[in-house]
Amino acid sequence: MNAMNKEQIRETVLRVLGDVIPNTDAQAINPDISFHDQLELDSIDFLRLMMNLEKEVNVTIFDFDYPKLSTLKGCENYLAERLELTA
Amino acid sequence: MAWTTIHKQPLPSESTPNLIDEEAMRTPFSWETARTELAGLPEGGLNIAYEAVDRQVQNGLGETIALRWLGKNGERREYSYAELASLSDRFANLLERLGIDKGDRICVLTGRIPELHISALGTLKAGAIFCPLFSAFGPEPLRTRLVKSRARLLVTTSALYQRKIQPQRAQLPDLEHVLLVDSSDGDGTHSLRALLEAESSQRPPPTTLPEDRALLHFTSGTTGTPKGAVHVHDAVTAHRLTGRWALDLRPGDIYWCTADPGWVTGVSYGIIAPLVNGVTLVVDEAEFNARRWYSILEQEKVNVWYTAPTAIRMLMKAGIDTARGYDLSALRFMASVGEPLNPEAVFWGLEALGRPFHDTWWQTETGAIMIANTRSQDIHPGSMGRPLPGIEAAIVRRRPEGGVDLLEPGEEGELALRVGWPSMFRDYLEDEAHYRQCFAADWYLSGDLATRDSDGYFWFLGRIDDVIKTSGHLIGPFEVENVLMEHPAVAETGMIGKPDEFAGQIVKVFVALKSGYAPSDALRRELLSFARTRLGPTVAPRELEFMSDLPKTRSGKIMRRLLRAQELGQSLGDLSTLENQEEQEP
Repeated sequence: MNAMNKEQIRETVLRVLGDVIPNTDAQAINPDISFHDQLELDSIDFLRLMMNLEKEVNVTIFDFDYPKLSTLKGCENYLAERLELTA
Repeated sequence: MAWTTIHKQPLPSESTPNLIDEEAMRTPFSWETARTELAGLPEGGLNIAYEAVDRQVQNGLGETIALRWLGKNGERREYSYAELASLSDRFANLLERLGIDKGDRICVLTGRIPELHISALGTLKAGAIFCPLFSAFGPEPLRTRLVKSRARLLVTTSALYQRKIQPQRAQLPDLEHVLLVDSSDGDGTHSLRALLEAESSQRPPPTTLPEDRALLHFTSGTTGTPKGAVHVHDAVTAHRLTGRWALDLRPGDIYWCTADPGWVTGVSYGIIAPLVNGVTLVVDEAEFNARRWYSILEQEKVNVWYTAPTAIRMLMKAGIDTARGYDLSALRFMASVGEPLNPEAVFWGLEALGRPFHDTWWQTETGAIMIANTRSQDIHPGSMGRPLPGIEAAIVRRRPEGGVDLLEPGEEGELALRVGWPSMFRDYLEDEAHYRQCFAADWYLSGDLATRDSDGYFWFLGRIDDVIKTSGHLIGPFEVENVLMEHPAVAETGMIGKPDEFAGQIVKVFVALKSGYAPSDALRRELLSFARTRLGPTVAPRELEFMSDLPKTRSGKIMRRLLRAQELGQSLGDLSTLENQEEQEP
């Protein structure tokens, strides 16, 4: 799992996002805009996204880091960094 | 485990609670006396918005900050009581110029922005009825509410309009005016800002009477479309007093209610009660984020904080260390509403924030807090608290022939309130039959199962019907099931609330497919997507399970209680008894 490259991380984030928010159009996601500003998600959705990502990518995401994961690019960067640290 | 009582021993340095001895207050209390503490209108009558802002200006609070708005991108705007008074006068003038009559419904569909507060106050001043719509509702719940309210005017944002209203505008024949807060005039819409600038900020006082209709809040039942609970201007008597007693509000306080004004809490305690009590109201536009929330509490020096169990549980997840990094010494009182607050959360407040959370109980129909753990009384963690002065609560059993039997402490029954408090709903919009069903003799029957202990504290046990609470929002099965039934693959469906660590309950549906369709992950995803697009994130199911067919009564009603029992792994008991109970329900 720790050998994931950015492309694989992106695919994982989009897959998990699609599980939490089933009407997501993955192709239409702007990686630089926050999920909140382009998708309809509430705080429970976002929490589920974070907790499912932890499971799927097998890293700890600290609650106080959640704002760093508010965009697709933010998720990619944060998870890549965490995977490097735990490698 | 058993949770110990939290005994209140105020520090000498602390201010005295507004409500000290509720038992001593009960006997001399009367709502008539409480009404005399309101200003009333110069020519007689009563108006919520006049009490909330104009009266404060007359009392010398004109320059005091009434509303401090924190935008999601770091913006900050402040409105004094005098500014809110004149902006709401402009809005009322605008309604009048657009031909809005007394009693017409005005809907507002926005996030937490000051235009919502201004629209609400202006609507009330004009004598129209204010009806908030939750911005996270999907197109379907919005259409239902706009049609049922027969709203003539809607205030919203361009994004929400384009996504949720414009595509179905043709199905909203009563909706004459759409005013956008963030846009210039467009196709079928007008700029709220431009229209307000053209209006005078002068206006004679309102002419409403205490029993004139003021507020419309939609709420859900097991059957049928959502019901529109109507409240009158006299409700402000209860908003003011419960704000003082249950939330300990006092002039000069900084107060933060995290509830969205799309729901009743966000109006009663996010707009009216704080303003009527002369406090500074903090409004945060952003979604939940633990650090942001602690920063707001610290930087704004919040004295009184009214929030919800889901948010408290998410703060608990973020950990005590996160909380302890902030100076929260200004916090005097913390309260919770939306669903029963678990004892762990009450104690967590004490440990992490130095104060316990105080649970409060009320409903859309009650309009204001009825039962509460107040600042001065001991907390029995997990309990709803005790009735406020002026509120008579009882545990009852409905008699089949009508009327109720009052039950003793320790007995389980339905929580009932003796009618007569000012914020009691006066009607379900165009649904007199459902309204009457809520009453027996002179008791309002809440639909909540509860028990009362020998100390007079009430404890919530469950619902007598099939509505659920998710993140504090009341969701009825009808809206959810109805949308799923529109999908060609769905033969029958039943909704339940599945316990969830953070949301309390989440919406789960069971689905039986029509012949020719087979269960698959792709179909599950398609159905969840179908529902979410129509219902929005709050109402849409988060889980879906296929069944070959759903358990039904002899007459074909789906037995949701059986689905729930199965989900929870509970014993099903005597099926014939359950079936008979389900048959008898409306």
